[in-house]
Amino acid sequence: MKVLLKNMILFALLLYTISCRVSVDDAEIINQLPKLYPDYIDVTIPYNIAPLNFKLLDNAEKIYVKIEGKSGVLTQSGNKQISFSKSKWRSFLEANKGTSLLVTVYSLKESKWLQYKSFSLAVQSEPIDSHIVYRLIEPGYSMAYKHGIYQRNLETFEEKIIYHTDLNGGGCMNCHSFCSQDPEKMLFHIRGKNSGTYILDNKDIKKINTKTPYTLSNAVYPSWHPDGDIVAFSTNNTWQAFHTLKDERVTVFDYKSDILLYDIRKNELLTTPLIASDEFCETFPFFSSDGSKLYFMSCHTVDSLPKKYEEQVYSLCFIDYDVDTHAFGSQVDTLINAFTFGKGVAHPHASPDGKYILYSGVDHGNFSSWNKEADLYIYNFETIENYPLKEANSDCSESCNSWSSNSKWVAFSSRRDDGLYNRIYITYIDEKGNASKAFMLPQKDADYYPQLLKSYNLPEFIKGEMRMSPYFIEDAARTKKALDVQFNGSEKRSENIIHSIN
Amino acid sequence: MERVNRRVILIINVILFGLISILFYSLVYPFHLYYQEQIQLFQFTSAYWKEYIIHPGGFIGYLGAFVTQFYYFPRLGGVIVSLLLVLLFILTYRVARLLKLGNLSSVFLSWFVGFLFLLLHASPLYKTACTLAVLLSLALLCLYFSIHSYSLRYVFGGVVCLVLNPLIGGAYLIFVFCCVLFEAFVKKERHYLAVAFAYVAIGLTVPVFNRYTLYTASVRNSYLSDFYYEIPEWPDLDYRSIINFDQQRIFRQIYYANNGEWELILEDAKQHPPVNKWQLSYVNLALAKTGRIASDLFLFEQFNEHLFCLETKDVISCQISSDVYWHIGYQNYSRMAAFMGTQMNKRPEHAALLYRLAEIEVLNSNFKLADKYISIFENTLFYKQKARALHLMMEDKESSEYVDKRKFIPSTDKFSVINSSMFVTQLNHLLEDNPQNKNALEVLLSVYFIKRDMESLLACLKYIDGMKYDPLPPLYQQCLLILLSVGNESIEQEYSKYSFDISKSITDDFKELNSLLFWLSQNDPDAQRKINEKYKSSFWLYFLSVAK
Repeated sequence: MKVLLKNMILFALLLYTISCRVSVDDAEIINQLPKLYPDYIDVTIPYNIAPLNFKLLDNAEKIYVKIEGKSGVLTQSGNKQISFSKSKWRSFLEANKGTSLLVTVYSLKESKWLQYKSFSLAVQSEPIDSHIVYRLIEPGYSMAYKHGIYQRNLETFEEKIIYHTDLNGGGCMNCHSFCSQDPEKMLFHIRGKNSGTYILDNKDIKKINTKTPYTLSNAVYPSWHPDGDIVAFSTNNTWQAFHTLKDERVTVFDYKSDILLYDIRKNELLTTPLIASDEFCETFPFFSSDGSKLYFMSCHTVDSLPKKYEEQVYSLCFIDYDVDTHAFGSQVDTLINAFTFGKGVAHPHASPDGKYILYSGVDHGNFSSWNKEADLYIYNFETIENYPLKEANSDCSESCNSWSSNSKWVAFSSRRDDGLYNRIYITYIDEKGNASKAFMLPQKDADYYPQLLKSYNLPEFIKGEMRMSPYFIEDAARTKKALDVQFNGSEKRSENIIHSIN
Repeated sequence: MERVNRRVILIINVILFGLISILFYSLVYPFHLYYQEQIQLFQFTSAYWKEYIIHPGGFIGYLGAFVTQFYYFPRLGGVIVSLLLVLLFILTYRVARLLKLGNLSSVFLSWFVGFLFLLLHASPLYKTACTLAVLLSLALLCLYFSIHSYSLRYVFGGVVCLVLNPLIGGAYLIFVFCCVLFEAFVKKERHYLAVAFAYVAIGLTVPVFNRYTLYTASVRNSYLSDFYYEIPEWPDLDYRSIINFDQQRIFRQIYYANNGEWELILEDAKQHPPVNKWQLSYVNLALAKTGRIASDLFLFEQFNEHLFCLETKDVISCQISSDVYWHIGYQNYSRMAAFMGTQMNKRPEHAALLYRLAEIEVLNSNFKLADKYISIFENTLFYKQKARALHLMMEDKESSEYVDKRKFIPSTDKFSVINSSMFVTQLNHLLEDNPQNKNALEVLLSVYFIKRDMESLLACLKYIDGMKYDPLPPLYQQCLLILLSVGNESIEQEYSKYSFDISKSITDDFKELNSLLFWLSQNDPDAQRKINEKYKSSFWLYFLSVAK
């Protein structure tokens, strides 16, 4: 009896396995590429990325995919979508890194298999950083309600909260920034409840109040010096103007802005009139990879805003900076002149290897997220060229870029999916400074993005998992008193020149 | 016999309680339930499920949202709430009896608990998930009490204490508390004190354990739940008061507005005149939508200096603002108000506001984005038809409704904000771009009527003429007679450019009013009565009230 039962179970299992096997040998070949969501056709991926699960947009009853590489074949079938096994995917990509894979998609319709035109998937041997941090927030205007800063493991689908408004009891958290992609060293701001700038360094949290009578505002856009003890901030008098024309939503602009440096050890702000003047709006600072230069966006102050918002076009400038003596250079130089180049600069970032500066090229303004024409541009220091990354761009806004620690991968926000909700796209930068076609950050469920009514904001690569517990941050937020920063200057900014530490 | 008596007493009380609840929630006070459905928009998707389950009490929150979707029909919602309350009544009685309370005491306790939850359900902030959580707790208690073997009962109780908190949130404490009472005072079986202590210990520490292992949540939400109540940005309607008929009236108006039943808003307003700016906004919007704003504006007391409350301080004001801007053709601002409303809502899926966003994106031919919003409605039970209607609009680009709306989208770019004080500027902007925008004109004129701004009304004569009204609306005729009675040359010059037709009856009414005003000045009591009867909805009386 037991033997009979065992045999029956085995037979049933065999039948089940046979019925699950897909046979596409007689598939009808159609000479068109499959319509995938997300679009992963001809993209370049790192070998350590999570599986690129997708769905086919042709109302198929069943889908089958075959990926052929130099070392083996990976197959997967599914009803509504393709979901690869994480372990099989990872080992397949590891075995085929540095090569190109051939992907063929089949769909079953009315009991007949159709074979789509094959496409390639290039697997790079340079890995991508294991984690990425972003803010998940509705693409709104002046207010932010429920939102949080999250970290996502790029090799799996795991997403964890770094901090959230639910824990803070409200407020707005923004401008998270990591020092040289170090997950243990970061800062972010909270406005409203428990407001302050929070500097997290390993197991320590420092809470500071960056508003002084001598500065325009609290510290806003941050950038770490590679040494980890200095942070460049902008201070901004930022406003929004809401359009009435149907294709425009909002324009974000600064009436005024300046740049300051914050010395973490001394709890001191310092600056120079060259980067904090009435004549110019200086903003979005960032250091060169060796820390010897401070780059920033700059434009002439524009009267009659928001009416003349189109006149606010930013160039990319820089000034020398000596981190040991805290001395600034004696002049500001222009790297990219917006007027001669024909495009303004927004959200610029230097690559860690010092070869490139990546930015969003815009017609006007400094907040490229709402500029539909915003595209990724790269300044190549080796060839002294400045050009758009055509393969990575789309006809919607591309903004908020971040370099991986090996300077090979760039993550950025793009509204191309539906025109409003920012999604994270990743592109590969080759040795010539050209970009590959960007691919969307993969999710376990291919239907995740269409159902999500939040945007991914400010993606930042980090080299590992950020381990500080959100409850630790919660505790610090509630119990720590914000330390007032000292301003190393004797006069108010609006009245006279502010002296540097020299 | 005694048992039969107890049963009869229970049945009578249950029926009585049930009747009170059904009468109240189905007939008198159902519309806030509809609003609860609006602001959560239940969807049959994995993403919606995950949004709940990753929070403490997520399972019961999801179940509560599932039940709440049926509040789409408010009176059905009233029946459902009443059924839940009756069940609560019965289970409370059962648990009380199993805890060895006397029959009358148990009935009294059931009335107390039932009535408490009956009052709680009257608040729009209180969610059905909480009642379901309490019901589940009580049901499990009944099961627990029915286990005779103490060892089996202890194991069952321990397991339930461990798993109940993450599933149903703070209501698990009812289970824990009653188990302790049962073991310590009713059963008193082996190791009962240790077991009672263990239940307390588990009950208090499980949320802390779950907080560090299962989810990321505040301490409060770990012990309570995110899904029992919410405090959205709410109008200053004193939401703290339990039963608020003014608030209920607004929800009724929202129900009618969302279903396009503008006439019902006006009928209801005749019986219950508006008493706050939100109610008045809906009444004025209903007048505009039914084409009666140019005749019946003063049928209702215009106690607010603005026609509509255009602000973005709370979800309801955002909805009103979005509806108003949609009506007049200021689509970007309609979208902005709708978007801000979804942000203020606890979840972005606010049914009416999301639908507005979808409509606007269809109008603007942003079909990918429109599709995203429409697909949300496709995953619901009661909005599939609306989703289909929007799909048809996308396919039929020449649909008459949207052709009209597209005609009046502003062609010049200006910057403004959503604020009642900016409304006149915005309306003038619309008319400058599109003088044929009738909705905008009628609203603008209404604003001037309320402000008694005769100079601006005079300046609008060119727009009125352009509309080719036939006949000219009564209020406009009344306004013209006032202008002409001033005897000012420039007014007459302006008037002479157009050929407005003022009817004989309105001219006669004007003469009669003048005559009555004379007699009023002679203290004729009849004059006052006649004026109020005949002219209370006229612009003349409103205009004259500034002189009193």
